[in-house]
Amino acid sequence: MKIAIVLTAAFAAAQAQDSTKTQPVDSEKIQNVEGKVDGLNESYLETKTTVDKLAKIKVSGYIQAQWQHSDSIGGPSVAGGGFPVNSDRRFAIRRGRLKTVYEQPTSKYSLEFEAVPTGVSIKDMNVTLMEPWLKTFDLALGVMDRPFGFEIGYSSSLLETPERTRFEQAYMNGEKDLGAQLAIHPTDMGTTDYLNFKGGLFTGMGGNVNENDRNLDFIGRLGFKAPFTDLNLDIDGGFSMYMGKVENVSDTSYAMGDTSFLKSGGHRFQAYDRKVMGVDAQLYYDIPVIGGASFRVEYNWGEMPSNFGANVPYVPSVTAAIPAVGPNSGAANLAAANVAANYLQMRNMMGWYLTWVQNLGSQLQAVVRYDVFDPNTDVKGSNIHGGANNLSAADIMYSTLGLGGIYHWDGNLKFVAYYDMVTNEKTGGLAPYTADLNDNVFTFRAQVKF
Amino acid sequence: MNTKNILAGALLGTLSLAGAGTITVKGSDTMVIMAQRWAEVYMTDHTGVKIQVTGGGSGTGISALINGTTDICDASRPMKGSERESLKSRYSSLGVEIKSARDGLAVYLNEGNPVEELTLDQIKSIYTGDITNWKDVGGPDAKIVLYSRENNSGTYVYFRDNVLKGKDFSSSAQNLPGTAAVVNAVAKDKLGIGYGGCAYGKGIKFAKVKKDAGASGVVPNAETVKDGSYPITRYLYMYLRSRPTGEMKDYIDWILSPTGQEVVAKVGYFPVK
Repeated sequence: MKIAIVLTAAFAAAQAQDSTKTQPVDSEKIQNVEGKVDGLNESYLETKTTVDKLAKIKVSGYIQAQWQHSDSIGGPSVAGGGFPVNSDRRFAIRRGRLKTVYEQPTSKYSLEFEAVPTGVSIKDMNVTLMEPWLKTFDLALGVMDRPFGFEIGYSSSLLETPERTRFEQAYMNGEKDLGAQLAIHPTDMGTTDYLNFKGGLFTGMGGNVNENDRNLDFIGRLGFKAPFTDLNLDIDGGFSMYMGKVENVSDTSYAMGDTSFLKSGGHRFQAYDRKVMGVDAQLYYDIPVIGGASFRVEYNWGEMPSNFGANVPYVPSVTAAIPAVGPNSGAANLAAANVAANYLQMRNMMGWYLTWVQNLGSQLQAVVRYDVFDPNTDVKGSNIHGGANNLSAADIMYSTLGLGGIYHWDGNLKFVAYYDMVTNEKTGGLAPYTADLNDNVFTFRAQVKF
Repeated sequence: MNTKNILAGALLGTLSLAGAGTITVKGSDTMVIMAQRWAEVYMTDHTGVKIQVTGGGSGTGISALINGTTDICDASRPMKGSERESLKSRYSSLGVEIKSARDGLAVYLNEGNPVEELTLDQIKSIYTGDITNWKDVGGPDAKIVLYSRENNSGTYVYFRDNVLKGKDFSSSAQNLPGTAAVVNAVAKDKLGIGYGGCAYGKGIKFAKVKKDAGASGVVPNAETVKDGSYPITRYLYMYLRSRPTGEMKDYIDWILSPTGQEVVAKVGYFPVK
C-alpha cells in the first residue's frame, strides 16, 4: 500500500513537473510560429505589391499554321494570297501575333506585332486615355482597328472562317488605320451596354503609313445591343460610315460613263470622296440540345477612288513626286507624278455577307458563309471585254460560298477545316475570266492562342 | 443507310460524346461549401453521377466556363457584359443564369470589438480609406485593420460595386484568398473588419448594418434577407454555357427543388423562393 502511495505521489509530482515544463515550451513554440507567420505575411504583402504591378501587364498571342490546296496550279486567291505559279498547294504561317497591354485606371498602352516568315509588322500601337469618373468615354491615339462594321473589329483569332470577306480585304485591308478615336460605352456593371459608339479621324492610308495629304477621314460606327437573357437571345447591330477624301497626285482621272471608264485631265490635287456606308446585324440564339447559333450579316456600299486597274483604296505610288512646297507647284513634278500607276479611278461598289455559325456541343462548330463583292456596281460582266473601255479584272464581281468545321481541342488549341467555293462574274471577253476560274481553296489550319 | 441517316447518326454521336462524363463545377469561394454539400447529397442519391467541385473565385469560374474547362460556374456576382461578350464570341450564347440561393453580405467584426452597428456610408468610408480609426464610428481610439478579398472574387466585385459604389478599396486593405481566411483574420484581430457570405460566421460577429444614420441596424438572417430589410443582399448564381440537358438538367432541377434548397439553408445561406 505504501509503495502504491509513494508511486502515485511520484507520478503526480512528475506530471506536475512536466506540465510546468511544457507550458513555457508550447508558448515559446506558438510565439515562434506566430513570428514566422508574421514574417510570411510581410513577405506575402511585398510579393503581392510586385505581383499587382505585373498583373497590369497582359500578354497574349496566337500562331496560325496552315496547309492549303487550290483547284488549279498558280490559282488566284484571297485566302492568304495567290498560289505560286507552279504549285496548287502550300504550307504557310498565316499569322503570328504577340500583343502586350499595360492597363491602369486612366490609361492603357497597347502594342501588337505580327510576325510571319516574310517579316515583322505592327498591328496595334496606341495609347488609350480612359476617363475615371463615368468610365464611359475612351480616347485612343495611334494605330488601331478602323471603327467600321462588325467584321473588322472581330479578332482574326476568333474568326470562324480562315479569312475576312473579299470586300473587307479590298477596301479595309489590314483592318488598321492611324488616327484618333473616341469610344463611348456605358459602364460595365453587369449588363451589356445597349448603345455604343466608336468614331474618329484617321489618315485613311491604312496601318501606320503617314498621311499623304491634308484630308483626314472620318470613320465611325453607332452600335446597339439588345440582349434577351431569359430567352438566351441577343440581337446586335450597327450603322457605319466612312467619309473622307484623298487627293489625286496625277493629272488624270477616270470616271464611269455608261459602260466604260472615261479619261479626263487637269485633276492634279483634286480631292475625291471616299464614301462608304454600312449596316450590320448579328443574332445569337442558344438552340436547345444542339448549342448556340449565330447569324451575322453585313452590307456595305459606297464610292471609293482606286489606282488605275485596281480595286483597293487609292494610294499615290510615287510619293516622292509630291512637291515639297505647296500644292500645284512645278511642271517637272507634275510629269513625274502623272504616270499610270497614279491615275485615279472612281468606282461605286458594294459588298455583303451572311455567316452562320452553329455550335455542336462545346467543342465543335460548323460554319457557312456566303460573301459577295462587286467592286463596280455600274457595269456587268459582259461589258468587261479587255478593249479600250478601261474596264479590267478589278471590275469583276465575285461570290464565295464557304463551308467549314472547327474543333476546339481546349481553350487554347483549335483546328479549322474550310472550303471556299469562289465564283467570278463571266466577262464579255477578258481572259481568263470568260469562264468561272478553278480557284476554289481548301484550308486546314491549326491555331494556338494564349 | 442513306446520307441523311449517316449525318443524323454522326450528329447524335457527337452530342452524346459532348454530354457524357463528370459534371465539373468551379468558381465562387463563397459558394464552395454549399456546392460541395449539394454534390455530396446528390451523389449519395444518384450513384451513377460524379460531380467535381472546386473554388478559385467567381472570376476564375467564369474564365473556366468561357475556356470550356468547367460545365457549371458558381458566381457570387452577376456576369459582366464583357464576360457575356466572350461567351457570345465563342459559343454564340449569352450563357444561362440560374439564381441558386440568396445571401446577405455580412460585415464581420471581432467578437471583442465594442462596435455593434455601422451605416452603409460608414462601411464605404472605412473601406475606401476615408475613415481609418475605430473612434470615428463609436469604437476605441485605434487603427482599423481592413481585410478584403482578391480581385477575382465575386464578393470583392459585388462589395466594390454595391457598397463602395464603384470606388477603389483603400490600399491598406489586406486581400486574402477566400472568405474563410477573412473570417479567420477578423476572429484573431480585435481591430479587424471583413466582409463575406453569411454562411461563414464562426468566431466573429456580424455588424448590424443601417441603411442610413436614422435607420435601425439589421443583422443578416433568413427573415431580414427575405424581406429586404437587410441592406446588402445578393443572389448566388450558377452559370452554364447553354441550356442544360440530361444529367446536368437533372442536377440543376434538383438544386432548385425543395431538397436542394434545404441544403442551402443548412449551410447558412437562404433559399431563392
